[in-house]
Amino acid sequence: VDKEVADRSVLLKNMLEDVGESDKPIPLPNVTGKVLKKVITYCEHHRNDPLPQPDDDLDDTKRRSDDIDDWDADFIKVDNDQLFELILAANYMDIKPLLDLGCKTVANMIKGKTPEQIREMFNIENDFTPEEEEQIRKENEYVSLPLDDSMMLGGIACLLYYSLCIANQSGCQHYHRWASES
Amino acid sequence: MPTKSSPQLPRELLSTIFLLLPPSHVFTSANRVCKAWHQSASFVLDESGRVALDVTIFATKATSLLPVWIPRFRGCGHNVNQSFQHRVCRTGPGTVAKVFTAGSVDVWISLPFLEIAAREPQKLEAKIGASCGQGLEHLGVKMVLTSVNDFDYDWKCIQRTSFNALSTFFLRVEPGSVFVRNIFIEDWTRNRLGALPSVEHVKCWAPHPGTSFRTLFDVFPNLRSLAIDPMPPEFSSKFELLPLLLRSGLKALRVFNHPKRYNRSHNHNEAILLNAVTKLPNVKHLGVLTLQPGIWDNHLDGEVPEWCLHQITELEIRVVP
Repeated sequence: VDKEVADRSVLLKNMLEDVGESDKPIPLPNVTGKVLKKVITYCEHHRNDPLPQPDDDLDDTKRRSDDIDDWDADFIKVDNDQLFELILAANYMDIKPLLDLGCKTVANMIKGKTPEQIREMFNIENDFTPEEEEQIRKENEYVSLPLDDSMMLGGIACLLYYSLCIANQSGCQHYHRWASES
Repeated sequence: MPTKSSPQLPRELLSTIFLLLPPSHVFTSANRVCKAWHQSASFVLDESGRVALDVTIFATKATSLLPVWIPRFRGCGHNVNQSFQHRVCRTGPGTVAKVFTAGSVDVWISLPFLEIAAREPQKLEAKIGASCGQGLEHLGVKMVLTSVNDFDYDWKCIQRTSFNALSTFFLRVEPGSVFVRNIFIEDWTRNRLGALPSVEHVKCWAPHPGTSFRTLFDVFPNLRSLAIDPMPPEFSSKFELLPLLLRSGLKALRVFNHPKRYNRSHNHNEAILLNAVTKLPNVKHLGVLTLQPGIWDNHLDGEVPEWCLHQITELEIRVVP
């Protein structure tokens, strides 16, 4: 592998700098041969890309998951086990763009899915007891309220409020002050 | 039942993935997949900083009892503010129940949720309204990031999320407007939250001298009105700040007082700064300032007797940049 390609991995880059010019193999105990081949394919394709900068994390676009280019989207079409292994390898080898690609892909796969669908998709065992599941469901029942029903109630509350504003303007001013100061 | 499990992703990687998801999905689906995912969802909350959603609730009538349900927000818990009015009712032989009637509740939510709250405040209020039950006279929603002084805040969380600076911010979510306090803006950008183009009006509470107003305009790119309230005790320091606030473009301000709000017993007055000549074409309204009698003499051209403060309807203040 070219040094330019290997330098895509911060882990390898640092190791090469420490070791210097040498023909000795570099051990990567946490990465299987199959996954490593895939990683090398990715690094070779992106060998000329600018290296990620620390400030990149501040870029709001990095929080998006729908900005995957065509080549990357095709590259990441692997079975779910290999996808997870690729993410783990990217994390271990410190290849941030590949890690981002894997995380975005998983996020896109999860979006809109129920817990059951997610479990089935990734072969994850449900280790909650029925009581624990019920407890979590109760904890989150607020956020799962149907919006349409709640919008109607909110509308009623707003109408009541503005009716009161018209009826008693000074009262509203007092409310605003109270609310602002409280 | 699946016979083979996928490799487990470590918690920090799951959290990275969760941050790419809509918060509502994280806390309705992703956290119910398995225990490891549930823990990672909680981790997302802690790492992103916790925000208290302060829900102000009024009963329909002052005398009636309103059984208010405390809204649940992703299992983050809540804190009923001490000022929340309640009555103790007898519910049976030897048993009593506390019935809340009016007041506010702090509900802890994740900071990224602020983006949604600020973008769609009506939906947020509607959801809370639905959660609180019917019969509300008014529902006010405001966001409060607690300071380190607040008793219900996790010190470890503060240190991890760089909220260790002694400060608070206050974000009152209203359609098209927000109220901010102190280093909210810095926290907002530090947590990599995006700009809020829908917000046109910002009320700023006593920004400290180090506040970066450039960042404020970055967060609120379509800002049209900026109010500063209350006026800090040091009148001059505030006006030294104003040119900075307006990117050194301030030449003159016009001050209008609010006679109706003049309150001699509290020894302060409020004025609205309007029509400022600024380099920001969108900023026309500088909002309400609290003016204190007795400090006018030193800072205005010409003396303004205290007795006529409440009669002033228009006043021009010249500020040297």
